[in-house]
Amino acid sequence: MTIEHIKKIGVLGSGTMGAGIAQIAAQSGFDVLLYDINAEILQKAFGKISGFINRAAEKGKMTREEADIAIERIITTTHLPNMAGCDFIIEAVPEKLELKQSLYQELDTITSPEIILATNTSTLSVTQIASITKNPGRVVGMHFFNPVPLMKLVEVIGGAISDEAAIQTTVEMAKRLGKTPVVTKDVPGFIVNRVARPFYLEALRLLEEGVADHATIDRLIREGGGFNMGPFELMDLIGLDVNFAASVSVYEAYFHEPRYRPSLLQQRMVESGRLGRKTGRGWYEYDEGEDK
Amino acid sequence: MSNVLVIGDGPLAYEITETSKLNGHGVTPYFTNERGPDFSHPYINVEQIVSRSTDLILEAAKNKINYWYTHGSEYPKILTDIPILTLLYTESATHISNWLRNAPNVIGWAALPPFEKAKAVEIMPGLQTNQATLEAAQQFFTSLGKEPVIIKDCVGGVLPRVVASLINNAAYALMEGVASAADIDVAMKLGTNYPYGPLEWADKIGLDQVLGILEGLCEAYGEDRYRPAPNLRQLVYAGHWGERTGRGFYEYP
Ligand SMILES: NC(=O)c1ccc[n+]([C@@H]2O[C@H](COP(=O)([O-])OP(=O)(O)OC[C@H]3O[C@@H](n4cnc5c(N)ncnc54)[C@H](O)[C@@H]3O)[C@@H](O)[C@H]2O)c1
Repeated sequence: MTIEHIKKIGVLGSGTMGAGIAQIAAQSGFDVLLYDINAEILQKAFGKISGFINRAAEKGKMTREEADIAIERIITTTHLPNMAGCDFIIEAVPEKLELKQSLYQELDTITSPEIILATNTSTLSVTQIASITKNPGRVVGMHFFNPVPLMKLVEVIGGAISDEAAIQTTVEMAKRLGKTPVVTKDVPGFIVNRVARPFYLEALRLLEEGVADHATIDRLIREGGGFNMGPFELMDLIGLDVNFAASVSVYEAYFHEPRYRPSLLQQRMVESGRLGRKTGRGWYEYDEGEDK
Repeated sequence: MSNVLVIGDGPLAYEITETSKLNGHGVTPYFTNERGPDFSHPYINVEQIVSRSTDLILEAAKNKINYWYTHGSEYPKILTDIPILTLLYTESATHISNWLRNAPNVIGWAALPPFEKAKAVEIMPGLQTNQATLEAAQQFFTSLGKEPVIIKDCVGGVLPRVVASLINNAAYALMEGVASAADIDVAMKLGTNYPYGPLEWADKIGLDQVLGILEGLCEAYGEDRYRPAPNLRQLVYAGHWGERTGRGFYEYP
């Protein structure tokens, strides 16, 4: 299906990512069908989305009328077969292969084969998700970043057996949603989560070697290199556990490529429970009152 | 205000020359490989370019061996009093001092282009470095409006090591056909807020310089993790060293 024919977008999963995707889709003029297995989460997500859109209107970023229209475009459902009416489907359910695979198998029977199924997976293989469906060519990766309304980037991932046309339509879709798409192969970590690894890993090595303390390393990266945040500040923001898990997953996925070897020091930090801002302490300490 | 002899073979050397002049220093520049590979003078005898009035030698060279090694045994006789600030892309300060018969007037420093934007500079005293040399280095960078930050002597310092590793990793991704150079750079700028994409940054630093840092790290640590991407090496062989040669990962018509 080409981009001109797409009027209605189905979003599977109304969590952190799904809600953000539904919001920008509605704001970009698409009808949205937002699906979740959990009705309560779904209602909360709808409340959150309309809250964001209303606030945008209050701030003058759109007119009252535009906001109302955008909110009206979003319909929620807990009934998967309703996806039959969608022209493009973006999936953002939890990061579990079997879960995603079984959902795609159900979609095989519900949707017509020319509808693109785009997965927001961060760490799974798009090829593997696609492999068990009847029409694997229509399955592509569409990796958004959190928070979706603010982050401009979308990685469009062509699985080993994705159709070229499906990749191109997904690129166009990302643009329609106001994003900047980049096209990548189906490799672990895609571009960003792979290329960024040394930012953390080399900083951790420097700390382990005693070249400088973590605050000095952060400062040199910021003030010497012009980065917005140093690696240790960023780990605290992301969560040390999340960041460590990403390193371990990329390391494993590349068959223990030494460039991606995780840090023992970071593992100890994770074990200690100092996970960053969310626990009040990571590499740095955060006061109760401080903005987490 | 002092008389500085700036010697080097990459964009950082040219940039620091300008910054030094702007801040009132008398500068004598001596560059090699300004427009790419230059085979005309592989070995430089610093003794012949240093003058009586030179107060400080600022070296920003990747091929240090060309400056310090071959004539090293002769240098201490004339250069023991002049602070030598050596850019730690490929060797440690302790190592360079060793080439100069463990001279105490050698100290390491590290930064990356664009130097103009840097607020802090890394300073690395070697095991032989004396206090006067450390103070001279601190004073010099302070005079350029940069904050000197002392860290432990090592190859690549903090910023060059982290950024060169990012560049290497991006070069591997490019070689493996994961995405185009432009898409890799866009992804890193928008997805993680980096000031430059790793490949465009490499073109500013100089691909020869980036390769030097990686080779230096390989040598210092003996670890596979720093092995340079073959496509980076190929570009360096071909003289595609980045912006200054008109071509690197990108072309600059
Ligand atoms: N959070 C991030 O920063 C981020 C960034 C990029 C990509 N991702 C990817 O996006 C996907 C979703 O992540 P998230 O952070 O939004 O997760 P989340 O836990 O916030 O949301 C998942 C939602 O899916 C629902 N769900 C569970 N099982 C379902 C099913 N069978 N059918 C339909 N809905 C179901 C849950 O009720 C929940 O609302 C994952 O693949 C994740 O890897 C996350």
